[in-house]
Amino acid sequence: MRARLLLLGLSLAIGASACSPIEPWVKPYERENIADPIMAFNRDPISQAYIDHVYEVREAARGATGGSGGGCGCN
Amino acid sequence: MQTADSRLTPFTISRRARVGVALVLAWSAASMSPATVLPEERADVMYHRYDGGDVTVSGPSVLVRKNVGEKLSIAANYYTDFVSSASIDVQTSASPYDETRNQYSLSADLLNGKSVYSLGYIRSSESDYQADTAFFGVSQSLFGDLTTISFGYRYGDNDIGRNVAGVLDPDFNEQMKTQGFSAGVSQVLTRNMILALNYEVVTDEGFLRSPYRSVRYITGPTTQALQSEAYPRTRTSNAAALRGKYFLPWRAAAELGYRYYRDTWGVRGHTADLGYTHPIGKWTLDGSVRYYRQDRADFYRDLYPRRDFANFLSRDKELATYDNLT
Amino acid sequence: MGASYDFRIPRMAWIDRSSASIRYSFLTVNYDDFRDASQSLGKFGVLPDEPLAPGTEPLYKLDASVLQIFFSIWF
Repeated sequence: MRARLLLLGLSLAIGASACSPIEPWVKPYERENIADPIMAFNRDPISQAYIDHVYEVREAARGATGGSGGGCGCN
Repeated sequence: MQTADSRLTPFTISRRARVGVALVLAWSAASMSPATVLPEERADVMYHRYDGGDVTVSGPSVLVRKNVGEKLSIAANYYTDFVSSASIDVQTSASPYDETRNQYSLSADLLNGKSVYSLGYIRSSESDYQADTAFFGVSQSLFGDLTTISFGYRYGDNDIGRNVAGVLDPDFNEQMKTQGFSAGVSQVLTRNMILALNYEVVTDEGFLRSPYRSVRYITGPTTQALQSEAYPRTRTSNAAALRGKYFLPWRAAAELGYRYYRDTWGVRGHTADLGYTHPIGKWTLDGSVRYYRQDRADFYRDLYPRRDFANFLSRDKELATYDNLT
Repeated sequence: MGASYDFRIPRMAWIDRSSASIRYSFLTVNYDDFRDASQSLGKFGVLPDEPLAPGTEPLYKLDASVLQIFFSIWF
């Protein structure tokens, strides 16, 4: 499973870098809104890590949160 | 192995009932931020408190992130959970308990052109559980910084003990290893919209049940008895999440996320969440709702029809069918 | 839900920005196949006055509140 993923990832990366340069369709001077701190997926890492941990220990689902968590399964 | 077969009374099972969930940590900076800059230098001090189901968990957390030169960012985190539990699992098979978990982590992010390399280590300790995790990750920005791809790997070693009457049982020592591999893409779609797709596979191997919890089975029309849980020794999970964030014309942000989860124990989970961030002067207000729904593990039962009903037995409510609305 | 307030600390020029935040969440978990076994097994070894037959207890439900208070500085 992991090997297959790795292959997929690698081929994506190679494929991407082999392409001719793509003209960025959102110009650097048009990124004011995207760069606004309120647009961050993880504005306060200490808070996101904590809340991910709260859910992690009470739900079977795990992973793909893109943030950080911790690990005690206290009932 | 524990034999926790008690007939309603006498009441002699372990002091505690808790799950040893694998320590999970992802690379803090890699997954979702633009790759060509280091994370901002900041320090946070937090007090956190969870209160519900006759359990309180509270404590401090301190996170400091500082640059060393122009290419290296170091982060250190100290986190504590003070647990006081008389949870439903503890009520039916043990006595209330207090426990402290301490967690230390240290990580480094190195900027190299359009790439950021991350490396880190975490240690989590409790009286009967120690978890050590090492992780590394790389993220790379492409296409004029509109796209960021990232990969990460982590390895965790868990050392599991068991407390009997408040003392660590010298005859009980179990191990569990966790490995995780993650991949992510984040993409600026328009001048107001960004999307992130994350995928993670996690494999656990070793002792996965709780040393404390019991399952119950029927012995007669109104009688029941308890026996120890029995779990498979491996579990592999896959999770994929899509998040989008949209900048609204009056300077506010709306966020939408969905995650699908499945594992080899038969658990399926769906998480959906919606968030809104609104700055007013010096204030920033946040609101969010989250809905989680899962289907139980194949071997989970609230009540088994007889003793040794199947090879695998669990009454961990975390593996049951339920929903969670926040 | 949460609120953050940005402020400046006088005479500390090395701090670019500071903020104080409070976040509160309330969560409700409804179990479909996990019953409140304390109504048949009892609590901490003490049997209920009228124990229910196993499998007839009400389904378990959990309400919890989650509080975070944090201070942040950027430098």
